[in-house]
Amino acid sequence: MTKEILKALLWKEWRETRLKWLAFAVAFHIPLCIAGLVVAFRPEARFDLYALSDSVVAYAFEFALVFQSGFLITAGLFLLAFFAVGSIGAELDNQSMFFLFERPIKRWHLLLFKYAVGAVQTTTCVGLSLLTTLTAVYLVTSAAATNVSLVGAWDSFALIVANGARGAVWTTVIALMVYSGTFLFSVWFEKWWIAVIAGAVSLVLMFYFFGSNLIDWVISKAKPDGNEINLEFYGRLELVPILAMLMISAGLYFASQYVFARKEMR
Amino acid sequence: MERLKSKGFILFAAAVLVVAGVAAAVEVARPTKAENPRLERLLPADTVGFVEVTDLRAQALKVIESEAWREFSKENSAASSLFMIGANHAGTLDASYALALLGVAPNADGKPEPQFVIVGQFNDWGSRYTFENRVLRFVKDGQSKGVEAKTEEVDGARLVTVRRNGVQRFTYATKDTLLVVSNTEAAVRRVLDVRAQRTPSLESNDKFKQARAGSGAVDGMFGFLDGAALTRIVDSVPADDEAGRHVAAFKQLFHGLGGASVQSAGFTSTFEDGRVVERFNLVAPTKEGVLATVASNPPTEQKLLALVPDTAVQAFDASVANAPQTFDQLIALASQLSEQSGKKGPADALAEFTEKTGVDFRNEIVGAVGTELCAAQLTAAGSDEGPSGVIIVNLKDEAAFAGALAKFAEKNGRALTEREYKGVKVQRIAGEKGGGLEYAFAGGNLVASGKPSAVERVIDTAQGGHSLKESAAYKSASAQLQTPAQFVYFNSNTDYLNRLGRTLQGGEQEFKTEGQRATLRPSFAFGVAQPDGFFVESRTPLGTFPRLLTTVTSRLGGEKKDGGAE
Repeated sequence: MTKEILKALLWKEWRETRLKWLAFAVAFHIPLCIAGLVVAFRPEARFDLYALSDSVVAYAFEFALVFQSGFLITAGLFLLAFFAVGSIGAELDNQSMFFLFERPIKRWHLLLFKYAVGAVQTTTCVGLSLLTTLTAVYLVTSAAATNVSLVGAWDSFALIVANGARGAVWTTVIALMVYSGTFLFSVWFEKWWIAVIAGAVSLVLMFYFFGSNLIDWVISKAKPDGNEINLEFYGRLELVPILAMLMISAGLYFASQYVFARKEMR
Repeated sequence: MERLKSKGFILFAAAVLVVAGVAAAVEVARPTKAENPRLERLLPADTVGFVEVTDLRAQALKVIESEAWREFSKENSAASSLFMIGANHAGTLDASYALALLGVAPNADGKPEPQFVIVGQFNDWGSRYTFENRVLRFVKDGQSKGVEAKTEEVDGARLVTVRRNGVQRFTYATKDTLLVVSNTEAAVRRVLDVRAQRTPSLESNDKFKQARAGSGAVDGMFGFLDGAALTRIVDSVPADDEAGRHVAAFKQLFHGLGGASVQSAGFTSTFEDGRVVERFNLVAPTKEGVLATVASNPPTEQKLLALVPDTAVQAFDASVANAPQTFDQLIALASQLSEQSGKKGPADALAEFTEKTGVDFRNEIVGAVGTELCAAQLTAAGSDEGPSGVIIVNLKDEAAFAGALAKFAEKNGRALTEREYKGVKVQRIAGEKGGGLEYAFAGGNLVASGKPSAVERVIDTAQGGHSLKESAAYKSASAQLQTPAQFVYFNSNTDYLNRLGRTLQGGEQEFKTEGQRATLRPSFAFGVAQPDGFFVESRTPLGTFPRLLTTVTSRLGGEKKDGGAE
């Protein structure tokens, strides 16, 4: 595979997915949009925002972090599956994939490239959404609250972001695993809606069996008594489940390659 | 085709966003019921007086944005935020309130009873329900023994009369976003009559209209008192039994002070430039009694402020040119009252004073007072020296006044000592428990204080030191005063934040009450006699609002600790 082909493939993928990726990025900030609507329409919420000061703004950041994390590992995974399901299936369905087969490129290279680009897009989006949400909350509170300033709130913000980075690692790994699973369904089923159903069923099963573990790893430990948030325990990194999820992701990828290599396409 | 479809979707999404944005803007810009309450529409036309607080949440927001709260938040960052957030969730900020006195009517025992009513106009049904559930909750949950509630419907409103152990405690009515609470059922019914337009509202009262139009303020607080209605009430209360003697005495006092000549009084409180401006306007074109004498005082020349050091914490300067006449009127009034009650009168007390001290209080003390009086606090309570104050009185006859003080010391066996400070004689009359009165005369004025240093500082100022009157802070604060005033008041506000901390104490939050040094603009107030009455204006960091907010949130919105009424 030459450099030119690599660039061409990259450009093709970017061009095809950029709007979808942008929509996906926006969708991952739904909690922020909801918060914006609440502040716009609820005078109590606006008042709370105005009443914040540098000393207590950390509570708002903590709430944003935990809420966004919760969104990412629940509703966010369904969004992710919806994004990933169109990776291969759609191109098989509209037969544009055959155009690529005419290029001097191996079939597994093609799949690897699509998987890599999609994985980078989704995991970046998921991981960064925590940090962008926190940044947005930091800027909005500094602008709106009379007694919150960029300088005064910086320490709280930096502390939350530093702790939030652990959550970003967890959500990225979980997102990669879910993406890999849905990618496999996308390769497996040519009809995108069948892949969507398969992905959704898989997610429901995953939540049924491992949902409490996901929430426990990322959020629950930070709220030992159910109310106060203790950032020290937020998203504590645990090697075994993270490695296990990475291995599952790798296994799902290889399974996708296996299915793709043996797939009969007409 | 695909592109067109894509564009259609984008256009649709854009249209949805625009509609949502417009809806949000309309929702945010639309005034809520509490923001534009006009509660006078619900009060009878003959309401004696009422105070309205418009949209507590908006007021609380203005407090947050005020200069004082910003400074206070620097020192009490977490506590100030949590206090406001707590107030926000207490369920009492979503409304405008009015407290009114509708009149006096006989109660079940035939005794006259004032009819007070609180009217709450809430933003929505939920806010009213939250308030009702918190404030009147014991009626609902029935946890208080002996509480019974009788409910009936009047004009679609739910009228509830609450009795405890058979005695009526209060009555309230609710309808949609409106809540009316009163100590008597009749008062609530009067409000409901006005609401149903069976009787005219206060809005149609000419004096009220005049006061409302003259207030110029639509936010903050507004108060109104109908002088004629108040006089009618005072005069109509029967004074024929034992208790009636007190009523008769009060009537006499009321008329003697000139209360009957007050047509109306208006009060407004509003935020301007990050602080609170409060205005009080008394309309009394035909002043009578003490009020007439006080109002006819010539304006203060503020000469005594030139003797107050520029570092003074606060100072009050007033014209007292009519002090002897006012004194005589008050003594005459007191004599009449004491004659009726058969107790010792003020003439006896003055004679006793003269006998004990050897000083004729009326002629040698009050009669010697000149045109102006000034009281100043020179050091704050939290300062190294402790609090200290000084009184400066302009005198007509310095020698006579000095003689009176010397006579007082001699007659009472108090040691009178003398020292010299910068060429000025400073005398001291020893007190009973180690204290005493330090005094000197500077430019025909008496300077007196309990602390020698306070008198010395005034002498320093009189001999060329920096005075409050010439200070930039005073000049800036008093710039608003365009006409000669009867009195002026200045406060440097150096201790304001500590006092604010003490005011807000008692709740869940801990506030600093010492050691806060803020650079707040000084407070300034003045009173001006006008041909048709009296006008007082003050500019202070937060006015009376912090106390009101604390009361509303901690007392009305407080969580129930145990069963029963709070």
